[in-house]
Amino acid sequence: MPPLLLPGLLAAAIAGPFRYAEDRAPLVVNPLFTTTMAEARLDELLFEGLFSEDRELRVVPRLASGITVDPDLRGATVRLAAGRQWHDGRPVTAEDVTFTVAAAQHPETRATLAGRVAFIAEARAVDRTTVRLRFTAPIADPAARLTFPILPRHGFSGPAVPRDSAFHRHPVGTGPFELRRFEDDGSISMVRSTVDPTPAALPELALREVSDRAYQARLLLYEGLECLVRVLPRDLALLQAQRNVVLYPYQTNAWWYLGFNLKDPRFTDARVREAVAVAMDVDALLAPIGTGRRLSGPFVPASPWYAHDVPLDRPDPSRLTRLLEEAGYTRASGGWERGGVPLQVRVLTHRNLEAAQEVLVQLQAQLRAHGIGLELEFVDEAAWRGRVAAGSFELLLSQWSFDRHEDIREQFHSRGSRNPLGYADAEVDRLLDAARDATDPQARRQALQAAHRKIAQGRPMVFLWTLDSYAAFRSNVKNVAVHPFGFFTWVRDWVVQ
Amino acid sequence: MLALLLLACAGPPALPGRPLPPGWVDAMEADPAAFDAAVGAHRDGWAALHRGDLWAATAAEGPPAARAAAELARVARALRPGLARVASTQKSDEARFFEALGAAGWGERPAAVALPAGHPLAAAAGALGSGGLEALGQLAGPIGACVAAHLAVRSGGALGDLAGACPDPLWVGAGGGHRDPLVLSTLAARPVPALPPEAALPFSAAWSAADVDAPLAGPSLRALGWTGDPDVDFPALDAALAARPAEAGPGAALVAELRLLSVWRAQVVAAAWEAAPRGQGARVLAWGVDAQDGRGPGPARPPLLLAAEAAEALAVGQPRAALDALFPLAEAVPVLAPVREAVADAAATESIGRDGLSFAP
Repeated sequence: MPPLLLPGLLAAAIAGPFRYAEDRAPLVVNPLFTTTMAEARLDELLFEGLFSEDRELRVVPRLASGITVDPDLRGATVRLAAGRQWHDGRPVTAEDVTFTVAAAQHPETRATLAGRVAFIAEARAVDRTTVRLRFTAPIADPAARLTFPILPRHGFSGPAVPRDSAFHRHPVGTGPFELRRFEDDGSISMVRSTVDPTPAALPELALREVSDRAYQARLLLYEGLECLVRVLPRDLALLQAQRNVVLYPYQTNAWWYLGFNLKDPRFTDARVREAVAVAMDVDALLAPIGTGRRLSGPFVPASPWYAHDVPLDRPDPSRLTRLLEEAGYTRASGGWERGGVPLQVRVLTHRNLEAAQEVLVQLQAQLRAHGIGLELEFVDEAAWRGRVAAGSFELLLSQWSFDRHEDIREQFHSRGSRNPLGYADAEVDRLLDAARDATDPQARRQALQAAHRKIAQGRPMVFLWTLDSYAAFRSNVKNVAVHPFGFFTWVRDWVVQ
Repeated sequence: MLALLLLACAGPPALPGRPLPPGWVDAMEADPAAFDAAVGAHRDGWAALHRGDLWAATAAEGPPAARAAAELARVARALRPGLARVASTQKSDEARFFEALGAAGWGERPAAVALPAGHPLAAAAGALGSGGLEALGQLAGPIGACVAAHLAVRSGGALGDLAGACPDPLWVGAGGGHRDPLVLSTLAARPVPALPPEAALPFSAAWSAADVDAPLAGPSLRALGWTGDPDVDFPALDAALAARPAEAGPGAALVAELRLLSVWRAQVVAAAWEAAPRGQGARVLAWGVDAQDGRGPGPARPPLLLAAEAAEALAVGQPRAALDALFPLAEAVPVLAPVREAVADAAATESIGRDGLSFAP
């Protein structure tokens, strides 16, 4: 620990905000554009939806007071709770709801929130506290879909919201905390909302940007933080041994993958994709970075959608040889080549992806041992977003995190908005549509398990693993419950004793 | 300020703790031969019990098999309320029959289920209503065969026989598929032979032979001032464990290798969870996290703790979260697969009509 830091930490330990760490403080505070878990966590603190979930995951009103669903299920009328205010004191109105839907759906906004409001065909303010919604298809339980964050109409000039909107630095929400200021060190200070009818117990909260994740555990240990959102596997034993720290295992539904750019001519050949897969020893890649489970498809093994009959890939050098020879490659002294061009690929990853360097260096050695060259490219946030969006990569090492519904439509449907690999399969589209429309749980399970099998067979990516996740709290933080997906969903109940 | 600085450098202060009286771990630490004597001729079974592989331990013979059977019964009782909650959410005719069958498995008088004449389950419902499980076990067809297999297991038959006799799902009707509802009650009803104290002690919550009958109320934990409040008791227990002299005997390496202190502590957490008042179980489980075993069963993450995690999640209506524990549990104890699948159906029900969210890291 840097000695100069100690006095500051001690001062903070004596009195001050509840502090949690992110390795990257969000650059954008606007739920319209949320793409990362750190941004989603901050959204939960600052914003609310019309409805939320209680500790039993029942849908309960937040900004709404109630909903009346039309008999034909194609529309609903939502009444807003009386007296709700934005953090700046202005009243929450029906116009705010209709604006949020309009902004998220506006083609110039290009909002990541768009998918969550796509089921709304029309949103109209009946009066100041009543919103009339018309849906694109019948929906039995629309309240469950009305959990997306609501934004203030008065914070924007119109529904076409630019990426450089002033709102990003001066967000106004209705959530349990109000943003006080962005600190010079990248941290974000928040205070308890004075207009929240069910105020949080914690008076102040601070997001501390600590880019060195190994250092985050030290900060928790020495009272520089109250909470770590995710403990690095190598820190688990250290923290577990401390009586002033309590570990909370939690469900993340997050998994790692090595994705192929399916527009790259080499990877349009399924044999080459499979050859890469069987050249890999995934267990050996996983072992140094933590405990977790291997995957054979796009769900975590504990998911109801996981098809347990799909086998995991295992290293198989003879199959690799056969596949590459069938694909027209020959083994030369330097490795595999076709038409004199060596099989040399480049993998792109975000430089902040935990343990990615460890994984990729080992992967590089594994592939090289089988005659496949691998170049590594680590890029920052801006480059990552730009390159992925433009399809400017050969291989991607990354991960996806899902909520408990584990809806993979955006990633694997040919019309999905988060499908950078360019995956398209008509049968998978049909299965995902069937799962979305299913009203019988077993029909939904069967459709998604079939999608798992079909995607695994098509192999747009090598499915790697889901890591065990633990949050760590100082033991004087009580009444902690971590939502299966939303880390701060129940933050109002947390207390420091 | 200097004091605070030292505090920050040294980490949290050690709590003054009361010492633990001598226990089975001390005996093994003092003399590794005590371990050999304890495991005797059933080393493989004890090894399975130690790593939380109750299925293998059950298939072994002697004391480990008896211990595994007893722990499986505790697992079943832990999961019972949550599974009942899941089952009670289904309202079809078939669901009412299977709910009644589940109740009969626990020895309760099942509610009469009158199914319309011609319903494929009408005969089964009639047999259950008139003669209970025994009558149903006489009936031809998959349900009768499955019930007969359960009755055989309850009379001491091999647990593995259920796998072949009870397909999953056991029944597929208009109301969807239905799972075998007798699994938990059969695990709880299997006869468990009585064991001498020395066979009941290793890898258990009892610290000494005097604690075997009631580990939480026995003299060892009483010596620590056990109160029933986990936030008081587990710091005191941890202080006592931390105060034990290191490298105290020739068996120290064995104790460390088998993580015997962690094993005992995990069993105490499990016992404390069973004893916790309704609604307080999650507070106990917070003290049971041992990341060394990952999410699967292991020496410090026994199946009973996994069952407790699942039970807590089901108690607050979170079937998807329960699957995180039930999945490794059913891997280790395959006969629990119908329980996992029933909860997976409940999680799937919860997702009907819901949008999902996804994020990059």
